[in-house]
Amino acid sequence: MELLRKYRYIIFPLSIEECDGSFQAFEIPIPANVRRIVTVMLTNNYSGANPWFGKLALQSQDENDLFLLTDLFRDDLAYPGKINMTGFPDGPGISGYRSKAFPVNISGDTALICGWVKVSDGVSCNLKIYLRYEQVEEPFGNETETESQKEEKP
Amino acid sequence: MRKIVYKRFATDISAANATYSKKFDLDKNIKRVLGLQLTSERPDLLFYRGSQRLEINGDELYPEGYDSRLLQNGLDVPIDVRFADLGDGVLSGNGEVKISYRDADATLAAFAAYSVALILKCEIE
Repeated sequence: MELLRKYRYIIFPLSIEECDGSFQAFEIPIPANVRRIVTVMLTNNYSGANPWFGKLALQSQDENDLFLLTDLFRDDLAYPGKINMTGFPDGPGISGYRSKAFPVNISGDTALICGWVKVSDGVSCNLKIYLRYEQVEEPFGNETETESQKEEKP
Repeated sequence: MRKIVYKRFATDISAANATYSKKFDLDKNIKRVLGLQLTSERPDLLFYRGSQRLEINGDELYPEGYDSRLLQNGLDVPIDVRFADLGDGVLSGNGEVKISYRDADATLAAFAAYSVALILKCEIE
């Protein structure tokens, strides 16, 4: 039976007030049915007119290695790891961070994605971090059982 | 051979900081929605002020708060990648498309009346 692949999103807002140039830590709650993160996107709203840069790192709660460490908003458009706002010049068809690190499998015990972000000194902005994950289901709306649902059955 | 058609649905945004909910119906011969994008005659307002929830056939594709800029294109975007990838496509099912668009203040874009167009790339039978 043909399976339909659908994308779902975790949207995590993150406000930064006059960054002092250091990393700010945050945690993103992960729903129980998330098994694989396929890409990361980021948007920001800020009032500054000057270009600014920063870094973003993400790590699964029960993993020791970072699965994402990238520069933000670099001017070099050829930089392969750049997370950009998309829309200009990238479009929605190719948005998101692309590298060999993705997709990232999430273990059954993971409830959080740990993250760190820093931007240029003095910058205030409102970021939104998007984690796009796959949901596989059979046609007619029958969702694939999660591992916890299978365990609950006698 | 697969046949592709494009459907356009527009919503007028007449007041600032408001939510506009609309329902559109797909033609009966549309089998699957393969991709989508957002456009506006004021792409700057859409970029800075817009977010939306989008649902097709009762299935939520993008949750509330999903920035419109992530579904926009710039001039440098190659034609073949201008549509957001919906995976293997979304079954048209009951043919209902629901969009709940929210306009919000942005310091870089003062409000003026504008319209938002949702363009769907569809496969027909």
